[in-house]
Parts: sequence; structure tokens; C-alpha cells
Amino acid sequence: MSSKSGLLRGNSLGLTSLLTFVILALAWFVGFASRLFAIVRFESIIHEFDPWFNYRATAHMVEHGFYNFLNWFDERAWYPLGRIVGGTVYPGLMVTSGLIHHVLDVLNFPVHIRDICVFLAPTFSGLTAIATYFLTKELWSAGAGLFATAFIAISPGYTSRSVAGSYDNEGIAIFALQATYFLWVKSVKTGSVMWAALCGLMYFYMVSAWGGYVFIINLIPLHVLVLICIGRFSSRVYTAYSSFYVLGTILSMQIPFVGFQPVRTSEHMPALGVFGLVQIVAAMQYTRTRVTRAQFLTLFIGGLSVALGVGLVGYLSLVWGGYVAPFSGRFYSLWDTGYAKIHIPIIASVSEHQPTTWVSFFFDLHITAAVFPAGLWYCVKNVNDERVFIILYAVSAVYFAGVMVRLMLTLTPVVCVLAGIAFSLTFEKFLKNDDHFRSNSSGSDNKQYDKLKKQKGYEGSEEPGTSTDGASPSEDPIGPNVRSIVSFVMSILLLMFVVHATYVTSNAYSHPSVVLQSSTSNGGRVMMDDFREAYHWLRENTADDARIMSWWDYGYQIAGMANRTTLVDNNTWNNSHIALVGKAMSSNESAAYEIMRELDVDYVLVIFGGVIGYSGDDINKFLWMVRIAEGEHPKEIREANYFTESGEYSVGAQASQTMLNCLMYKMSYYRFGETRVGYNQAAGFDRTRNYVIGKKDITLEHVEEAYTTENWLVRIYRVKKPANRNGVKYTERKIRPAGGHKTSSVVGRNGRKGSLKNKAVVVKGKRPVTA
Amino acid sequence: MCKNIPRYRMKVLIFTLGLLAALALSQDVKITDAERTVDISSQLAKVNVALTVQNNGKSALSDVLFYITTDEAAHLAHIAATIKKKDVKVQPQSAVQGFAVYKVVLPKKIEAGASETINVEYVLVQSLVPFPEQITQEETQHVVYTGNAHISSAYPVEKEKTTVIFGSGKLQSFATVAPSKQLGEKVVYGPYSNTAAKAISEIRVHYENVSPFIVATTVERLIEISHWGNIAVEEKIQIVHKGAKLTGSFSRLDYQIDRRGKKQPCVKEFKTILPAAARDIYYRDVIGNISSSSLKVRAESVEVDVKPRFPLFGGWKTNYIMGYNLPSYEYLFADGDKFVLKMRLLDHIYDGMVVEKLTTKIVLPEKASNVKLSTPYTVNRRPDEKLATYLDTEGRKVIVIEKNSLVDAHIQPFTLEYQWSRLYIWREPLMATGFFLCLFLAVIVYVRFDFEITKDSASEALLGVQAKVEEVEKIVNERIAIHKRLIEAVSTFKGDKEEETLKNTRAKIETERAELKKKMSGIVGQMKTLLPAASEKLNEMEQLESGIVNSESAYIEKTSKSTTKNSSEDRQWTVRVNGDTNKMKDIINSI
Repeated sequence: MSSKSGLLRGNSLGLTSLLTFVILALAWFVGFASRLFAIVRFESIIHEFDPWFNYRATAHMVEHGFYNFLNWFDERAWYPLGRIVGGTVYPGLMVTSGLIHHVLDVLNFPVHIRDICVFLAPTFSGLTAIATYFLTKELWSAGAGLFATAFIAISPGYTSRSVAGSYDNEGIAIFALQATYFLWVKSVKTGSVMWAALCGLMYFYMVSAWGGYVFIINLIPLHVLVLICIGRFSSRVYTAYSSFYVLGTILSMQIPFVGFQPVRTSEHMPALGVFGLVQIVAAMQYTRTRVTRAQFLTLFIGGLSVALGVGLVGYLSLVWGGYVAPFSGRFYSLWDTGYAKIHIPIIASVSEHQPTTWVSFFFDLHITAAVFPAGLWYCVKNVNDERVFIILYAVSAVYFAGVMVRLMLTLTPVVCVLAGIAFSLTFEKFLKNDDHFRSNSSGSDNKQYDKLKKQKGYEGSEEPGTSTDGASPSEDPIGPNVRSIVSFVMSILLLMFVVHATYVTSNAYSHPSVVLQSSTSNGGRVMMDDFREAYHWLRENTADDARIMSWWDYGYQIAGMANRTTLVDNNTWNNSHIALVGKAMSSNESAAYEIMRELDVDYVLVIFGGVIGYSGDDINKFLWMVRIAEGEHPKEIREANYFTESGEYSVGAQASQTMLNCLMYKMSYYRFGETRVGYNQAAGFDRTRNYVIGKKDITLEHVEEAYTTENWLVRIYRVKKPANRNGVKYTERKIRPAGGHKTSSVVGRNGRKGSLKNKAVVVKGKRPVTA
Repeated sequence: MCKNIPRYRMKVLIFTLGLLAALALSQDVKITDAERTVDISSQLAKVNVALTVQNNGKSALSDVLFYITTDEAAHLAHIAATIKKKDVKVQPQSAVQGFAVYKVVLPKKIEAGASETINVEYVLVQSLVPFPEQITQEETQHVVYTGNAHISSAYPVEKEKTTVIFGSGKLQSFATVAPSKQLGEKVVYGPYSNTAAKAISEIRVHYENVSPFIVATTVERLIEISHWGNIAVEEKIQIVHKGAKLTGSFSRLDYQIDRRGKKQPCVKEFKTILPAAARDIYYRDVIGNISSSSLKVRAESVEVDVKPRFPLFGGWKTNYIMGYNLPSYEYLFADGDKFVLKMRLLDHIYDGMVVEKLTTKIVLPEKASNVKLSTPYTVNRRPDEKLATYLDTEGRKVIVIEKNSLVDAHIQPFTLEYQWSRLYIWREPLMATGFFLCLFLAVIVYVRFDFEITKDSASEALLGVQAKVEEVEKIVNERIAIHKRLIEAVSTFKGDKEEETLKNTRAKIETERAELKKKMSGIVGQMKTLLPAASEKLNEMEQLESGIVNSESAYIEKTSKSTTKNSSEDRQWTVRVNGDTNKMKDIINSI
């Protein structure tokens, strides 16, 4: 693509812009279409867990209006605490789809809000592609921009979070992120207040959409700081940052969930510090021209150290005084990967918070992961104000992506940008003037040509792997064969990227995880719709106010699909409440019953994969429940009790008694011992764990099976009302007084059987004395 | 019509009339033979009464009264009568003590002394009461039928017999009204002779009934007409199993290993028959597709095996949406601007179905007028609604029809007439076309016109420069072509040594060059004002060019002098020319 635009350079402006427009439109279309695998294979359905909450919230907003949504107190979550939804969500996603729905509605296009939610992320992927184009264009060239657009449109790392049905904040946030960065780069380049204001507005949209805005509000100040340090500070940077910071901060504080955080938490303090620093530096620059050098030095060193000291002391005292919150645990876990496991097991228990493996870098980025260092190298070689930004972005994103799988998402855009630059440059070098070289079969003396390239700053711009040029700069030994081979290999790589991206999108990221799919021995398709079976059963056949206890993973789905009250859900804001549920799950039945009675639980829902071999079931997650429960109730729950004698986690024959008697085990395996999954397997053979379970004759006392789905994937138990006390024979019912025939042993001071305090005492026969 | 007569007088009038009629009837009309079968093997009680009515009076009898006990009348869903297999009208009358009254209007009067056999069929819904009310998963369902041993008759009955068919289940008990006996799957009451009018003696039959007791509590049927050739039908159905309620736990294991088959007290699936032309059938609920259903296309129908997400035990309920498209030519008939829609008011859901409340909505095309609805039975027509969908401006008219308590017999077509101009079909395409036209026009206007308030000299200059650069590029290309021609000429000269041709070519080239140079110098002059940096570069290019030209002439001098073929020199020179032309291209690009 870039090669085309490269060839066309110098041709009429119209053709280039038409081509650009067509390529961008195609990128949008391809990005949209490649995200529809889930729709084609399954249906238009909301995926996974968090999207169900977002969908529910959006539906609530569409039904009740925006202000009622902001004031929404959800009594169906976190029973008995409830949740103030309006103040604890990033409303950007809901508002966006609600707005689209509203506009279509006004135009008499009745589209169900679910369909808008399902198709929102694919639509925004096109916008992301365009934002990436503009960002790359600002950073390098339009050709590189088109490459980056094509990459981001299909890059698996981004597709993973934006397939149709994946209705999550990230779907629109990556667009907001790229657009904010584009506007930031633009405002740094131009130093215009307009661009900086637009950047602030886009930042506001980003804040309203995703908690990842913290990345922006730390990266941009870092950029400014680095620019100051390497002596690239200018009035443009000053204008851009001052306008952006002031406007962005004030706007971001309009989001109820963010509120005063920008001035009261440590995560936002660097931005404020840099804001102050920018003022000082600007003042210094102003004074430098007006005072002598010696005076300036004193002013510089003295002023800077005083300002730094005051700033630091001020910050520390504010933290100490409790006005500014210290860094949160989630922040520390970014720097110390072992931190969460020890201190916040609930964060560590989430699979997407695990450190990234090398495989997943390749899986999510493919060839771009290998090429983007080259792009980074070009940026370092030809550094300017805005390229400093992309360098910082790349370095920090690579680090964060290494810490958490989830943050691959923030890495993907920058990788696409830099890979776009690398590919564009390489093709520019190896494709340009190809016809000329073909006509000149004996190219040897190209000294001047080479020199000219050097002047333009293209020297050293070869791909490291294909470099033959750098060794002898005085000559250009790239013959037509090498050119065609390199171009051919690069094209093959690009084709492989497309194949890989399609393959990964289709096979790894397009499963709704609400519906499971497997195939029969003769190739037929089997849908296992157990989740919806169970949720629909709950929706139709339990009381409207029934309270469902389950592990927090399923909270959003129960609320969204079954429309019933849950105790804990995926918004894991209250660790102790989750720990209480974890405790109930890991206690024995009678202890659990007490907790469940206290929490008014009507039904308990567990996920059990032993029949079909589903690995993500509650028994496999159980250890985390124990750990989280242990964190809050270390006296009752001890992780060690759940291991076998040899220290393994097992539900088989060697399992400990605590394990075999806990509620989770009982509910998962109730009557499972009577089943046979295969002809040659013993009764009670667990397909997920691949062994026979430890205890088969399970009896339940306080709960009873209410519903189990077709493949036993979801098991719902009803909590029984307290049983009547055992009958007492009539003859034994009389209460025998302990001593003598006294009916009551309590006699008041004045000998009466009981009296009321301050009771008016009527004394007969005496006239009250009057003074 | 009766508005002017005070109410009490009406009542008095009716009462006297009724009294007179009763008097007349009791004397003159007699039922000589009555045979009744009550089929209670499903969830319905289907009653079929064959009456032989004899007119002993003096005048011809134009209608016959038919009584149903009030207990039964509360569950009555459908009543119809036939004489010699031909349908006759049945009209409800005001009730008398303990009975609901229906009048069978005879198509041919029964003359004095003559007799006629009338078949009356009626269906009772939800009249079979589960007993016990709650059962566990292992038990089977038993129900109690309560009825009258005698035919509820307005006239004395000479001979009567009632057969209660309870089906293949086990009979627990039945109330005896002698003579009564069990015969296989039936309980026979009677024959009784000379029963008085309005005789009642209650009977109860307690028996095992394993047929599904599912009731569609609400059915919302939406029919949307499109004049592009499609009729979309969507039914929202709420289903409840109203048999004996499940008590205790539901065990999936017991359910899976249960070998009772259809005797299990639950509904696993049922069959819905859709019209043969149904296409794009979908079966879903609030949370998405229900993937457990299958479709069979038969010659006259499409059968859908509707499998709810979970088996329906007693007391459990579910809901689903089923929709499909039909080609409109099968149901919509036209005569000019007049259209008639002929479709079913209610369609099949499952065999022996019971619908508690039906709402049928018919969405007419926008701007349809003069709507006339005729229904096969009395329905409650609600006020019309408006619905604005795709590309509508004022919304479409929606006819809303409601009816309670329906059974299979209610699957009958209605007709709906309306007027609609065929020109309206072009409205929406034209609107869409117009919209895009405006959009493109707006883009064209935006791109072509200058909306800036202040003149941006820089960008304008840039455009000027761009144009100049294009011109320069043209010149350079021409020059390169000239070089090539020269090289060719030289090489041919080397071959044939004809100085004349070379000289001619050179002279021609010289003139062309001079022209180009003139042009170029003009551009360079203009460029100086526009973009000084570029003009410098152009100057540089001019120097290059003149260098090439000079070296060329030197080279040609050399070649013309020398007679040997010094190819190395040749090559060097060619390379040099090429290198310089490349450099020129680069300069243009850089500008």
C-alpha cells in the first residue's frame, strides 16, 4: 500500500487522496468483517462476563434515561450491600451505544440495543484504524500510516478484545487512546491551543470509557519530562501540555467514577508535578534572556531545587495527611509481579492478570512483533519531538504487556505503528526506482545517489536482517535480484500475517464462552448451551427476588441473563464479601448453611465440568476461593487443609477430609458417583481431572438439587428452609422447675414479681402534701 | 336500538319472554335420545353431545336451547354444533339458574311432530384438576375430572348415556351414579331414562393422565405486511406447565436414567406446525437463540420440533419467540389499490393447545386506509396503534386484536381489507436515493468551494508550487527522453558512422532543448517568488542538466573522432547520464 502511494508521490493530489480513502475504507471493512466470526458461527450474542454487565447497564440506560442511569442503585448486585452503578462505572461505552441507539431511533430505524452493543466494537475497530493512520502519518509518513492502519485492523492482539459481541470498555477505549495520542502529537507539533483542546476533549472521552486512561495521563507527562531533559522543550510543548492538562483534568473530573481522583491519588500526581515543572521551565526560559548567566545559574539551581523540595515535601505530607491516596495495590503489582499473589489474591486469581508468555507475544502480534524494533530503531535514529513520544510509548507498553497478559492490548497499537514505519521504509527502499535499475543492468557507480539518500536521513534505514548496504556505504550493492527477493519475502511475511491474524481471530478469539461448541465423531456440530439453559431456568422458575450465590465470575452473567440478585460479581470491589462467599463454598455444609442463612441465599450455583471435561469449572478455581477466604478468615479456612498429604491439590482418592466435606465438593459431585461417562471407565470418573473422585456417596442436608443442566455444566441447589426441630413427646414437654415449686426465681427488690420503672405508685388514704 | 327503553323494563321483558319460552319448551320439545362422550385423555375435556330433538308442539321449531353447567361454562373455550355434518350457528344467551345457555339456530325448522339430530361439540380447558397437586419427579400425574352424570338439558330426556374416555392411564376411582361401570379405557354412565330437565348429579373420575398439561398463557402474534413481497410473522409465547407441580428436587441423573418415556411428568419438546411457505425461521428468547430445535420440511407444512431450554416440569414456565417470513402472494390478494389479507388469527403451537390470552397485531403498510376487518369468531378489537420502522415518516397503522381462552378449533383465518396506492412503494427508495444525493452534493460542495474566511496564502502558494513542480517534472521527463534518443543516435552512429544523421538529430535535439530551457527558466523565475528553496534546487538541477549536455557534446566529439569501439567509456558515460537523471528525479521528489 505504501509502495503504491510512494510511487504515486508527485502525482496529482486527488489520486493519492482517493487511494488513501479507499485503503482506509477497506481497512475499516476488513477489520469489521474479520470480527464477525462469532456472529456467523454462533449468533448475535454478548460474550463472556463483563460485557454482560455493560449490556445490562446500557439496556437500563436506554430504558430509564441517562440521569436515572447515573443515579442507578443496583439492588440486584452485592446483596445485601447493593451497588451504586452510576458512580462506579465508566459510562462512555453505555453512552456511546445509547447515543447511537437514540439517533437511529429518531430516524425511525428500530435496532435492538443488543445488536448495537454487539456490533459496537467491530465498528470502532475501523475508527481505531483511522486514528492509527493519522497518528502514524504525523509521526512518519502517510505510507507508514496506511501500513499501520492495515496492521491494526486485523492485529489479533486488538481483535481479541473487539470481536462482535465483546461489548467491553476496551472496544472503544483503544480508539480513544489512539485518537488522544494523535491529537497530542499534533498539538506538540503545532503548538496550537485548538489541537491541545481537542486532545483534552478526546482524553475526556477516553476517561469516560476506560480505566486505562491512567496510562495516558502518565505517558504524556513523561513525554514532556523527557523532552525537557533532552533539551527539546519549546513553547509549543508548553502550550500543548498546559492546555491539555488543565482542560483534560477538569473534564475528567466530570466523570462520577473518577471524581476527585486526579487531584487526590498518587497515580495522577506525576501529571500535576510535570505541569508545575513546565511552568518553572517556561519561566526560566523567559528569564534567561533577561538576566546574566551567573544570575541565571543561581536562579536555575536554587529555584529548581526549592521547587522540587517543596513539591516532594508537599506530596509526602499530603499523603501522610490522607489528602492524597498512596499508590494502590494494583499499581504495585505492575512493578512487582509477585505482589498481587501475596497481598491481593483476588487480582492474581484473574487469568488475564498473569504475566505474559513469549508465545502470546507471537500469537497476538505475529510478524509485527519481530519488525517493530526496526521501526523503533528508525525513530531513535531520526528522533524529533513526536518520535520521542512513540519511543516512550513503545518502551512502556512493552514493559506493561510483559507484566500482564491483559495489557497486550495497549502494546498492540504501538507495535502496529512502528511495524508500519518499518515496513513502509523497507519497501520504500527496495521497491522505489525498480524500473530504473532494471534498465540499468550493470549498476555500479551510484555514489551520488547514495549520498543524497544520506542527506535526507534515510541512511541506516535498512532492515537489520536484510542489510547488505550498511557495510559499504560508498556503494549500493543492492541488485535487482536482491530487491525482488526482499520485496517478495516481505510480501510473503505480510501474507502470513494476514493468514495468522485470520486464523487466530477465527479459532481463539471468536468464542462467546457462553455457548460451548464441540464436534461429534462424524464431524457434526454440537452446541452445549448449558449456561443459558441454567440462567433461563433461573429467570423463569425462581422467585423474582431470589438471591443466587455463586463464585464472582458468574455474577454479571446471572444478573444479565437470569435477572436475579447476586451476592458477588465481576466488579470485585468488596474483597471481604467475596471472601465470605469463598468461605461458604469451602466450609462444610452446616457451617456454610449458617453463612448462607445470614446472607439470605436462596439458590447456590456451581459450574461443574467433570461430565464433559470443561476445564474452567469451579473445582479448578476452588483453590482461589480458599485463598481469598483464608485472607479474611484465617482461623476457619486454611489452604493447607485442602491439599493431599503429599501436598497436591486433588479431589481424588487421596483428597483430604476437609476437601471432601466442603460445600463446593459436595455440590459439584452430588450423585456424580452414580454416573459413568464411558464404557471402560469407573463410576464417578471426572473427565476434567482424569481420575475417579474421592468420595461418591454424598448426602446433602441443608441444600437440595434444584436444577442441573443437560451436560451437568451448571448445577443449581436450593437452600432449604430451616427444618422443624425434632418432635418432643407430650410427656417430655413439661418443664420441670429446678428447685421446689417456685414458678419464678426472679423476685424484685421490693418483693413484687416485677415492676415497671417510674411507674406511678398510687398511695391510698393520704392526701398529697401541698406546700 | 334499545337505548330508549329503561333497563328494568328490558329485564322484565326478557324475563317474561324466557318464562313463556320455558313453558312452551317444557311442554312441547323433548329429547328422545342423547349420547354424550367426554374425552379427558388429554389436558382438555372434549365433550360431544348427540341430541335427537323431537318437536311435539304445534308450531315449527326454529332453534334449540343447549345448556352447560356454570361450572363447566367457566372453563369453556369453544362450542360448535353440526346437523348432518353441516355447521350451524350457536349463539350465547343470558344464563339461567345454574346453567349457561346457548341457542342452536336451526337452518331448517323442525316441523311439528318431526325430529332432528343435533351434534354439539364443546371444549373445556383447565377443568382437569391435578390430584395430588404436587408430585415428585418419580411419580406420575393423576387428575380429577368433575362433571355431571346427566346431560345438562333444557328439555326432558327420554334416554341418555354418557361415556367418559380417560385414556390409557390407570383409573384410580370414579363416582358411581348407577348404572355406571368401567369398560377398558372408558367409564360409562347410564343409560338413564326419563331424566327431567336440568338434572344434575355430580361425578368424579380420578385417573392417571400423563399427557402434557402445558398452557400458553400469552401469545403475542405480530404480522407485518411488506409490499415488497414479504409477510413477517413473529410469535412471542409464554408457556407454563399447569399439571401437578414438581415438589422436592429435580435430579438430572434420575431424569437421564428415567425409562418411563412419555410417562415422565414433564414436557421435553413439542411440535409446532408452520405454513409450508415459511422461510427464515428463528426460535429464540430474551437471551438468544435456543439451539436445541430441529426443522422438518414436509409437503404441506414445516414442522418445528420446539425443545425448550429445559424440560418443563409441573409449575415450571418458559417463554420463547418464534418468527418466520412468508411470501405475500399466498396471503395478500389485490385488486387495483384494494388489498385483502387472509391469514390465520392464531396458528398452531402444539397439538391440543390451550391459549389463555391471544394478542394479534397486524402491521399495515404506511398510508394504508379504509381498513375493514372480519374475523371468524368474536374478538376484542383494541384501539389501533402506530409503529414507525425503517424509513417511515408517519408510522404504520397497527390493528390490535385480543381474545381469551383459545384452543385448536380457533385456528381460523381472518380477512383484512385495506386501500393502498401502489405508487407509495416508490416512496422509500426515493427517500434513500434523495438522502444519498444530498450527502454527495454536500461533499462535492464542501470539497469544491472555499469556505475560509481568511485567505491562507501559505497553502495557496503550496498549491501553486505543486502545479509548477508537475510542470518541471514533465520537462525533466522530456529531457531524459532526449538523452536516451541521443544515446541511441550515438550508438547507431557507432554502427554505421553516418555523421549526417547524427548531426541532424543533434540539431533537432538542440532546438528542443533550447525550448525546454526557456520554459524552465520561466518556471524558475516564478518559483523564486513562490518558494525560494525550491528555486535553488531547480537551479542546481539546471546546472546538472547543462553539465550533462556539456559532457554529452564532449563525448560525442570524442566518439566521432575515435574509430575504435571503446565500450568501457560508453558504459561509464551511460551510467553517468542515468545517475544524473536519477538525481534530477530525486530533486523533484524532494520538492
